[in-house]
Amino acid sequence: MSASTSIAAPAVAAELRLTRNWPQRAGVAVLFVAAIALPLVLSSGFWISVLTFAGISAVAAIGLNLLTGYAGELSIGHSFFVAVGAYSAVFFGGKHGQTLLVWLLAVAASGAAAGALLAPVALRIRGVYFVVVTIGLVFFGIYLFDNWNSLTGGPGGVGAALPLSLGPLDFRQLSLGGHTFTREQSFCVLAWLLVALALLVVKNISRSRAGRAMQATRDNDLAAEVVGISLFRVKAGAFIVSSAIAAVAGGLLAANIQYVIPDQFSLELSLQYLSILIVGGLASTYGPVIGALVVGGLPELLNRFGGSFPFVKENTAIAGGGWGLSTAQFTVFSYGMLLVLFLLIEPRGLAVLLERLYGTAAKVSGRRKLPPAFRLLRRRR
Amino acid sequence: MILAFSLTTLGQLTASGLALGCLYALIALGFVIILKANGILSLYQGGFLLLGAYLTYQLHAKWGVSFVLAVLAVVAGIALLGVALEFVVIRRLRGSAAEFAVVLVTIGLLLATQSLVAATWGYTPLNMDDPWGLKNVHLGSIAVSHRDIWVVGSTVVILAAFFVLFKYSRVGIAMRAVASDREAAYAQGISPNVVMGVSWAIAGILGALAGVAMGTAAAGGVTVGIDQAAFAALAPVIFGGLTSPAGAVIGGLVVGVAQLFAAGYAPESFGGGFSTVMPYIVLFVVLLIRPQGLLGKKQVRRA
Repeated sequence: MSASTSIAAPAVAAELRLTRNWPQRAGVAVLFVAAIALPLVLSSGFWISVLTFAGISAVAAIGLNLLTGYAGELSIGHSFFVAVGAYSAVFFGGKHGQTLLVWLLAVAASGAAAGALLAPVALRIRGVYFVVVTIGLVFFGIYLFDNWNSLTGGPGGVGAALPLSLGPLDFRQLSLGGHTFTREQSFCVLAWLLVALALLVVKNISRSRAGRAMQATRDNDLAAEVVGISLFRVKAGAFIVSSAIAAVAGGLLAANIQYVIPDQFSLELSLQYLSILIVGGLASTYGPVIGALVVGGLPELLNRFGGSFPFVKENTAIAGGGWGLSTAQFTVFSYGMLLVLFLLIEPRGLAVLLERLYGTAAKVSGRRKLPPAFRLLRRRR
Repeated sequence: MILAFSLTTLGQLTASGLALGCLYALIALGFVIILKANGILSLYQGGFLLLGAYLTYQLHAKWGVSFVLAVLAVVAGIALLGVALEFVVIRRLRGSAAEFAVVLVTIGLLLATQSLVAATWGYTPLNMDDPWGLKNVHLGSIAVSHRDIWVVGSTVVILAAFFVLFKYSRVGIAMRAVASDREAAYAQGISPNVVMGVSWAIAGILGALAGVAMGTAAAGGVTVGIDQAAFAALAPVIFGGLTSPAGAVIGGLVVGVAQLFAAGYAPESFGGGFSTVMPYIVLFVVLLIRPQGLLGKKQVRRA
């Protein structure tokens, strides 16, 4: 396999910078302001809730991107770490009434701890083992949270009234210039602030020494080991950080719905994150956010508009009305099909289309060429 | 807490465990065949299970086709579906993308299939109206259901047929050749495409048969949840060493018996559903103690 020797040194240097040039810096600033301002100017509660759910799943997908996109380990068990986050939020924020900053940090720490605990099992040998372990985690997690009654309230679930104020900012009712915003608006701002934070963390890791090491192990693990990178340490690091970010998404989910049920954290939830990642663009900075804007709001959107599809029924339990999927079934069906179609047609996701617009897509890359994350994960013998 | 230990209970649990283990062995073998043929993990086994059970229900219980005929038709149909999936979807991913893409595509297809099945047949357990029903025979003090005897018997026959096919038939030899050295097999005129197609067909057949057995009345009827057995069957795959058919069979039996022992002997404080996660506990333990599996070889990487 040929190494990427064609990349010129200045290009690498540009890639290592947080932002490339002033127009891009201005663009990032505009997007940031827009993400914060949009919930405040939207008046429809429905669209705000779509945006909030998209933001929360964006956080989880950004974390997954670090592990799957950059470190090259496919996880189907991300929903387990989201569950860890949701329940530790219930524990620290709900049961012990800690403030927003404290419970968010505690949630991230719990996620990291869960990742650190499981890394020795999951990353024992390379290959499909990691995938299999993460599948096992999802089922083990549901069993664990179903039975841990004192914390989770069992299969029936537990309420999560979490404190949401950070110093002068109260994310239950933000007030700005004398105007007070609704809980939904304020929480949406919090979610997208954390999207920005997660983006910054992952982007900074990906351009650091550790991040370069992750990509090296993904692209050619043997060569990476030869130059002195410890595969286990690098992959475990990615796993831990990614779990911590997933846990933060779980905390947000609990705070938003204010109720946590073990069954929420199923394979279907993991599938949602994976389809966000593939639709958006694997191993691209903004891919997970683009994917989340397209896919992340899907459950809410289908709940509202699904009825206009002829094959979607409001309630399949009611007999008659012919064959049809419920909105929940149609949501899962869409995740699966989006995943299949994108992998077949454009495995680089929507991000590459945007990059093409931006004009930075490598001119040499043919249409069929795969992103590094895929090209280099091809089977070696 | 008194552990009521009696030989009857032990024998009862072992017998039921072996029957369940046979089904795990069949499903695990489906995974192993595809892994062996191309080194890729397909998660669609659960889909074969679901379709096998529900289509048999539709043909036999709903449309009155005789049970044997229904099973044969379903098995043939699912073998074709396996070939079609490989031809239409998997093959297009094979040349360029990684095993990654296949895992993702197959789990996407699996969950899409699951929602279609649930939309069509609903979530209530359905009675397949299988010929065995809930009848038992008594071997001494141990009650064994007719269905379990049939499951064990047909698994033995299927496995024997499989190993003979694998060892002596032209296509079986081709499959082993591709598994051991892809390029060399290709140079000998063996088509990897044919091998891939055949391995998907076999995986489909094994999955469909296991699905029918999982959907019988004695196993609790046809439900959308039966595809979970396919995930549990990943434990025997790892236990056996990923690409070892014999290992997968032994792993299946071990995991099946372990699951039933967990159901029978686990103290109440372990909570509900402990037995259903037993396969994953076996999986985690195997990965900690002997990650290459029972019959797997230690991974040696050469550049």
